[in-house]
Amino acid sequence: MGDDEARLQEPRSRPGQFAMLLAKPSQHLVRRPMSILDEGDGWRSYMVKPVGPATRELVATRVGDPLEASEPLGNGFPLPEELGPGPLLLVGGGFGIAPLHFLARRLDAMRHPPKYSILYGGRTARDVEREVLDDVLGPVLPSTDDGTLGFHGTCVDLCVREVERMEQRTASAVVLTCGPHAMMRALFDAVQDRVPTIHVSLEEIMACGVGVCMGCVAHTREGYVPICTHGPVFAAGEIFGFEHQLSHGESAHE
Amino acid sequence: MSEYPIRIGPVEFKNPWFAASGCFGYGLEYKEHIPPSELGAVVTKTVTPLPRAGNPVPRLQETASGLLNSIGLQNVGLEAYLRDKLPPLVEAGGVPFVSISAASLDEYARMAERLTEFPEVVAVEVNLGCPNVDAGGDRDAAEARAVEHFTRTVKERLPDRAVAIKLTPNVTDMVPLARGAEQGGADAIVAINTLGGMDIDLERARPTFARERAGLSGPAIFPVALLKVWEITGAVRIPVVAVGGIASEREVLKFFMAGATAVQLGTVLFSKPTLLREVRSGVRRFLDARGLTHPHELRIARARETADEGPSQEGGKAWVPTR
Repeated sequence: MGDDEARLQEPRSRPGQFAMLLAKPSQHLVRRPMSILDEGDGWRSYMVKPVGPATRELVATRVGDPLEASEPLGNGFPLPEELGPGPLLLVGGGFGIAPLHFLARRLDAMRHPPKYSILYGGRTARDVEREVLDDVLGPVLPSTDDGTLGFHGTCVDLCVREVERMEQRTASAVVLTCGPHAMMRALFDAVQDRVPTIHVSLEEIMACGVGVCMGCVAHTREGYVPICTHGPVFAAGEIFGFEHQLSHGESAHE
Repeated sequence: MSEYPIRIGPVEFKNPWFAASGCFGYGLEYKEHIPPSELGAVVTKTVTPLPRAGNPVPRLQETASGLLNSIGLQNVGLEAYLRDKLPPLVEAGGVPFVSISAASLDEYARMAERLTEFPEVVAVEVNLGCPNVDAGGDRDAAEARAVEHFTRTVKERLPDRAVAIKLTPNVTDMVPLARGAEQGGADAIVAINTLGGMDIDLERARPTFARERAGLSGPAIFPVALLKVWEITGAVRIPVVAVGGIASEREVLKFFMAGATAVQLGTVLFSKPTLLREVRSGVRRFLDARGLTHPHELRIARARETADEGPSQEGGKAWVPTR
């Protein structure tokens, strides 16, 4: 989808940032947060999962259609220059692949990119849109729970295998992940002992995208913080290292 | 810009365009879109005596033309507000209309006493209508005598400030609550807070929100808000600040015709933070086309006055459409 307002927006966005989007016109009230899939001169693209009527409206738009779109929001992943020599493991579950695609494109554009691989998991081959990654230079390792494409197992299992293969190089390894919450938590649990740096990109229902409505919070050591302004990317330990102390559904009321 | 000045109790505001509590942060988050100095007042995110963590996620769910929220008054607490959030708003030329909520008369008394030390807080909105907390929420202020006591507790400590009482619509009739606030010395009524609502997660077969009950805002609630404002302006003599479902200048004009003195933009700001400009020019065009000079002239006459009270206000000059 084209974003004709993007032309006016400087500076360019960081991988891991998102925009608030709604079709124009729309039957809906609040814009929906979408990770940026890629951007170029005068355009920005998104990968939208049709989960409800507002996202179906977005999916039905065509290149050049007008959109209600905010500027790029949130912190994004650490900059490629900040990630060190790698190796980097970019682990995407389902539509969580979108910001990792953008990150890989930025890594490819570096003069001396760190070594990275993309691990892209889905339940079945139909959930893995392999062609999304066709323009990425680094290796792509798909996984499916049912074995219909690539590695037979979850992308968490695949990531564990890749970490084991790295042996001593895990000292400088970085895992960057976006996907279902439970997947990212399982990934953190599985590799946190061996991988020193893990960043997760969180998803939550948002209304404003700029820290006003306090609707999209993550529970961290500091209490509830808005994902839109403090994230969506967090050090994984900040989220999962703490969440384990809470039973499900427990309120953090004073 | 004192385009249409209005008065609430001891305070004059330069215009009747306010941002609603919870929809404009602490006043500076949207400054690139709307400098707070353009608003008559910024009603800040409600503050409580101590910081509040708020409710677990999910906290939001869009409905047909509406938005359910269960934020639970997450805020930094009064002291951190006064130290960190108030000065930059004042610095930026914003007029702080500080929204407060407390769980008891004692807590309200202490908050009001603390605010006496901050003369820049020219106005206080007492949030008696939050559906998303236990103590001090809408169910503790659903009765006229309780509203009167809360109001008096705050107003007698802040005689030189504008004290507005924000009431819940989650009662059979808001008019007794509004009269209770007026009896307690309120300078204005703010109507309405969110309507109680809920959602159920079909996949999980359980209520979407941990607290089950949530608050509905957005265009869906406008007709309800308009009726409540109409009923209240017909029953009290103090100004009514209208809030609920504004999406364009049309709702604003209707609130003025129903007798509102000022309006608050709320949920619409999340997707259209610049709506204020459209509202402002739309209202001006409407007034100019009819030879009117101030929104209060829009107030329409009533065929039916409320049963036990006479005509409510001297300002109720009938506006007769010119064509």
